[in-house]
Formats: sequence, C-alpha cells, structure tokens
Amino acid sequence: MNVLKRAPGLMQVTAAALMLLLGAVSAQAASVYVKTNEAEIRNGTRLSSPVVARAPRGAALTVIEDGRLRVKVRTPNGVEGYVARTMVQDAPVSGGKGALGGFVVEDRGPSEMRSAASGRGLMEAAEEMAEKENIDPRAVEMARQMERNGLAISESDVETFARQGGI
Amino acid sequence: MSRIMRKNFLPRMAGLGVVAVMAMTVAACSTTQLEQTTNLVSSAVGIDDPEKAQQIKQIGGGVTSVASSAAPLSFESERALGGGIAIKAFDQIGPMYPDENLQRYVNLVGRVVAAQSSRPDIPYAFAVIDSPVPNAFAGPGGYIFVTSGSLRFMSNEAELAGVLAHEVAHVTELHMVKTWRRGNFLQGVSEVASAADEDAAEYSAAIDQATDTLFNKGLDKNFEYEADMVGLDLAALAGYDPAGLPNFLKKLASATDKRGGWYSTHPPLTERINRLNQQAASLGVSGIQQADRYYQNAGRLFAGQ
Repeated sequence: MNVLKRAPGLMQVTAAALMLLLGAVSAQAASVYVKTNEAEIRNGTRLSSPVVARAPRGAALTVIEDGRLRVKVRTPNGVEGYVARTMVQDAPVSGGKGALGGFVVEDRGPSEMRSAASGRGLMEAAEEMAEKENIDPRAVEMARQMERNGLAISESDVETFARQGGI
Repeated sequence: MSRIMRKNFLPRMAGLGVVAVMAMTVAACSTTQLEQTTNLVSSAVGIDDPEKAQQIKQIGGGVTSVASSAAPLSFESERALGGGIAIKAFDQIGPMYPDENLQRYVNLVGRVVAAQSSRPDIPYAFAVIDSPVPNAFAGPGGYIFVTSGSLRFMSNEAELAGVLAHEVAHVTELHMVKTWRRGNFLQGVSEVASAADEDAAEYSAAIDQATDTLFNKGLDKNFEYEADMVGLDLAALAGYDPAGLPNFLKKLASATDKRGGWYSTHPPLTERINRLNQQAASLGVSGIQQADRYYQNAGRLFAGQ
C-alpha cells in the first residue's frame, strides 16, 4: 500500500519536474539577429513611428512577439520596439555574413554606400563597353542621369514624401 | 590596370575544375587531409576567410555552392555591372521618359519601399523608360526600371509601390548575381574596376547574358515567385495596400495584347495572382492606395487616351 501510495507521489514529482523543465525551456526567450548594416527599432508599426533604438549587424534582439511583417523586440539595453522582419534572421550572424550570404560583400552604412555609388569612374567599365560597341552616347547620358536622379533624393525627402502621403 | 580583378590568378574554368575535384575529394579525407584540402580550395577560389573555407569543407561535393561562396562581389562591382545594364536598357528598350517630376516621384515611391528591405542603404536609382510595352526589371546594385507602358496600367500609388517592391526584391535577393554564378559568369571575380582589354570581353559577356535574361527570356521562375513574396511584404511594411501588385497584374492579365515585356519575362500571371492574393489576405493588414497622388504625378501618361 505504501508503495502504491508513494508511487503516484513520485509520478507527480517527476511530472512537476518535467513541467518545470519544459517551462524553463519555453521561458528561455527566443532571439532574432540583425542582418542589415543597422536596423531601426521603432515604437510603433508605422513607417512614421519614431525610432527608439538602432542595432548593428549581428546584434541579438529578444523576441517579445513574432510576426510576419514585424517582430516586437527588446534590445540588450532594455529598449522595446518593432523591427522589420526583412532586417533580422533567426540564426546568429556568423563571420559578418548577414543579408547577402557571401555572394556579395555585406553593405556598409548609407553615407558610405552613397559615396561608393557616386565614386569617380565607377561606371568606367560600362562606359568603355558602350564606346567599344558604338552604343548611342545618349543612352550613356541617360544612365548617368538616372544615377544623379537617385542620388539627388535624401532620406529626409523620403520621410517627408511618406508623411505627406499618410503612410 | 585590370577591369576585372580576381583574388586568384587561375583562369575561370580551370579554377572551377580544381574546386570541383577538391570538393569531391573532401568526403573521403581525414581531418588533417580535410584541413589541407580546405587550404588548397581556399587558395584555388581565392577565399582568404577561414570561415568560408570551413564551409567549403562542410559542403563536400556541392560544386555550385562552392562556386557561389567564392570571392563575393563588392558593391562597387555590382554597381558597375548594373550601370552596364542601364546603358543597354536605354539603348534597347527605350529612352528615359521625358518628365523630371515623374522620374522623381517614381524614385520617391521606390525609396519608401526599399527602406523596408534587407538592403536599405543602397543608393537605389529608379527610372521610367518610354516604352509602350508593359515591363519592369532590375539590375544589380539598385538600378530599377519600369516602362511607361506599365504605368498606364496602374491606377494608384500602391500598384506602383507593388511593382517597384518586386524589383527591389530582385536586388536584395541578388537574383541577377545568382543567375551569373549559375551560368559560370564572373566566377572568382571580386572586383570590376577599370579597363583592360583582356577582361573587357568577360564584362561584356556578363552584361549580354543579363540583358538577354532581363529583356527577353526572364529570370528563373522561382526567383520571380520569391520577388513577389518579398516584394509584397515590403509594400505592406511601407504602409501600402498589399494588394497593389496583384491588382496591377490582374489588369495586365485582362489586356488584349499580351506580347513581349511582362508576358515573356515573367511566369504565368494567373498563378502569380493567386499566390499574391493568398499572401495579401494572410497578412490581415490594409494600407493606403493613394490614387490622387498617383494621377497628380503620372497624369501626363494618360493624356489623350
């Protein structure tokens, strides 16, 4: 009888231990890792929501609530906000390889990228090809104009445009 | 100065051959042999990052994977290749549409969706090409094109955002770079910098292959489906109605003339529309359409219609 009485007790203890173990596993918060050069964390889900933190490539962010488009996260400094799903991945970023997976050197910050794109002679190979193949010089000038059009727009222009459009 | 720089000095195909033989050998090696082989593979494909070399060791016989992880292209190289495609686009598809305000507007809409992407810091450049054939395509490094023929099928900014987001996704997911790698173009190339006759042919061949793909044959259909999926999320993240792209495609599908452009370079519209509608519904978000601002900026395209 004693054994029979104790047996359920043991089972209960075991079950409780298992519950605790499973609880501990599930309580261990999941993380996502920044795969862009830097990810903006906003205090809301709109494009116009203020940025409350910026996290560099590789940073681990604790997941509070996962979503298809955005993840609600907590930074190591305890700041909470939303990050776009496109800018984070579930696996840690290894060897500095983030969004581009080794096919292309990972992107740098916006000012460095702009400077790289407007660097003197960057289209040199393309323009030499055009000359060699007798391509209409107006096509080359249009490609240059296209670059200038893109570079002429600042980040604040984009923000203003988004705000005016009610985005 | 060489136009195309390699981290190794092996001829392209010879280098690949060495990698293939080594990769097949890896599976049967001891640990020490593996390390030695890894080092050999690293030098053969120009990988000086020990981690990448380690991945080659793990990949074993995956020659395609080995090749794809060899010598990542710099952004400057992507841009130089994209610039070549831009010149060909204006030469072969049509000139830039002569409306500065419209060009700026399309750049602004494109930048709003690109800011949500996994490559938000690229200085994207968008252009409207004056061509009646509805089409849109993207070159590496952030050069994105949409024809005036496409814009005439649109009736709000959300549809434009959907199309541009699809093209931004081709850039962020490196679809043209991956197509080159699959076709053994630019293998082992890390930098496309300046001029040299010996490499000019390889640069031109890569551009020709890209323009044939983008202007005529179309990318791998799985790349198109991926661009649809990623692009729809980008448009929704930006705050646009996620149904913008499928709504635009529905109008294309009902057009009487289905020759060229979008019809020949993209997978069947019905399948894409079904997938996109399902995805848009599953997001459970609405978003703005902005018909007024679209017609304010693109209205000239509709004059006389």
